[in-house]
Amino acid sequence: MNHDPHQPDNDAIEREWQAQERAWRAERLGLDTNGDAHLLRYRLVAHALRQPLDQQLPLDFAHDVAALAHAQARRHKAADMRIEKALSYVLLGILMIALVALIIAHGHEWLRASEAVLPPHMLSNPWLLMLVGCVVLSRVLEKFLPARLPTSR
Amino acid sequence: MTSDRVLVDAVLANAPGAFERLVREHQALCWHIIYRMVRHPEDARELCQDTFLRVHQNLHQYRYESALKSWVGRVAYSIALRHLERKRITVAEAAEDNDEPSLLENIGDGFDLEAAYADTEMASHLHAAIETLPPLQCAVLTLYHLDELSIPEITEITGLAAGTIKSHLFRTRLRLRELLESRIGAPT
Repeated sequence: MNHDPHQPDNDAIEREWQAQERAWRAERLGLDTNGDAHLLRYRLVAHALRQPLDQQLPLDFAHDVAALAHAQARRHKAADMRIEKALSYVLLGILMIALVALIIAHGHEWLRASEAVLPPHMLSNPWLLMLVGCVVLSRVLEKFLPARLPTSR
Repeated sequence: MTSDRVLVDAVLANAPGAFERLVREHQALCWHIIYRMVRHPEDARELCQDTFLRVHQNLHQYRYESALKSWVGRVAYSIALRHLERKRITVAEAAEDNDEPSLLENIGDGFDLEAAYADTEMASHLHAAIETLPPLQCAVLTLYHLDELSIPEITEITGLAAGTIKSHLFRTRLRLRELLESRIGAPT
């Protein structure tokens, strides 16, 4: 027991604590208390405190809780994936907007620079420009969209 | 501690049956803490379930600084404590410093332990007295006597100082013995 200087009689408290502990040890280990009435009373208290509780958890508690925990973990994982996917789309959208803004801001300069490099008939053909655009777009989408597995029939 | 590590690693690796084993190993302790504090079987079952769901969710944060038993016990204790606080139930009774000396006297002789063990009326009286103890004192007594945890282990679970736990144990056992005295002294 802690020695508290404010206690009126520390020795008596210490003796009482030791009696409680000896009775507890005797009850736990089945030792003889030599008919000491003081210890026997504490032993009876210790005996009552060692009795199982009146209510218990159901027998299948561990199984049920484990199943619940795994289901909850799967739900959390799916929710995390959804958030991750949504953030990817937001990022892609921001990148697209930035790209459009860049084209609007510097498109004329790039066109002039490309006129100096490419033959004039290539830029005058809109179908050729559209083809180049489609190839670039499909490559970009390939990078961002998840690969689809072949379906078995 | 090694067996704790093996079990925790298995749960974190999602090994089949590992978490169920963890629950089975610690459910008694968890139940004793929560049921002793909350005293309502349905609420206690639900809180026990919440405890293990939280353990499963936060097991990666367990750093092996204490035994897994103490870590799980601490989660159970804090969940029970929060439940009682939400319901505005007093968790611990304030200690009165001057209640011991008069209780250390008047021990009579002629006490038959076997007869006392068999005395169901006395046993039920003691159990009823245990049931009326404040939640914290009741949980501390159960952890010490039923789960056979040491005072340092109870300290890890409750976060209380060792001196406070000893004080709770001392005063509560003294009070129960006093109650027993009154029963033994009472005419039949």
